[in-house]
Amino acid sequence: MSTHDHDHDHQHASGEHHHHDEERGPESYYAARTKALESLFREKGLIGTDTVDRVIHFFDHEMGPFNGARVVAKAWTDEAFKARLLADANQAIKELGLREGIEGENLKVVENTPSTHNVVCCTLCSCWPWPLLGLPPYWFKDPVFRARVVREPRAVLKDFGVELDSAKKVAIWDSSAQVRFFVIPQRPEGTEHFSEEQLAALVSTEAMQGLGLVSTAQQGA
Amino acid sequence: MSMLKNRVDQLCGDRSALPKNQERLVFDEPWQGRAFGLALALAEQGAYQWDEFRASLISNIGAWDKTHTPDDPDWHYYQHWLASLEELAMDKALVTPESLNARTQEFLERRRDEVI
Repeated sequence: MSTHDHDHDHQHASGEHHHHDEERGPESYYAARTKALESLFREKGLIGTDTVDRVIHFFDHEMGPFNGARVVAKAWTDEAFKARLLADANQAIKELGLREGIEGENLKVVENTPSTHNVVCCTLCSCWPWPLLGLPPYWFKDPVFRARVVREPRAVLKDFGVELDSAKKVAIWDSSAQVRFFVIPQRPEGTEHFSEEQLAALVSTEAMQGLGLVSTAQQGA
Repeated sequence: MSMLKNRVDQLCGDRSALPKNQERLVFDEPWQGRAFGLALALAEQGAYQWDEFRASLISNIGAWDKTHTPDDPDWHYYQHWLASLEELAMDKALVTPESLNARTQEFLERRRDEVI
């Protein structure tokens, strides 16, 4: 079974927006069949639009962002790796034995710093680097979230429990079929002696999309 | 939601057990996670009993086992999961084969503008 369900051959100039789905090749039969079932079940009122998302959310730790968290932990502990990751993320994640590339798209890594906080969104659909982050969470696909995050990122961040210093710059990165963004959050204080594994356990999906901060308090939460 | 974990744990001990890697669920493609969540969601909403889905899955896998060797490389757990879900949904008259085929075709040809 191929993991490459769609091709991304079509190039478009940056700033020129198409619906991303149209740029992809045919959907796999199984993906379409699953969508068809869910669509019909929704239509008949057997489930709500968020029922499956809620179930998946419950299993989030099972489906979650382990690969992404490994990448972050490695970047925190290995400056040379981080430099390679920022320069060419697709190439760098291969070093960790992760799936080559992200479905043929380019992965671009941005790093949170004391002066800049990065937030990733996808205003047009829900482009998501799933081999790194698992299944997209319910909020990422919500049209209201997608519109708001560009218009009022600080208010959205507040909803996610993140209050930033007003002097900190917020950068918004809009993922597309061509480039999918991924955030290296800031490493929390007091983790100097943590192993990579311990560090990875602290990193949430939200943090790698810039909608959460990493803290040691999250452990066991 | 506390039933969810129990339901998943009930699938154990034979080929109906969910593919795992060190106790974590494994999805090779996004649709597999979606189909996983969908089967549980329908039980959660009372469209069928979880036992009915489990029985459908076991029978579907049993039928495959009769005609394939255990090491057949064509074995794909979630294809059986999806087939079991379809069959149960049709048995329960939750969907008709015609509507399912037509809707599938719409998604295949990307004629349907619905975010799932």
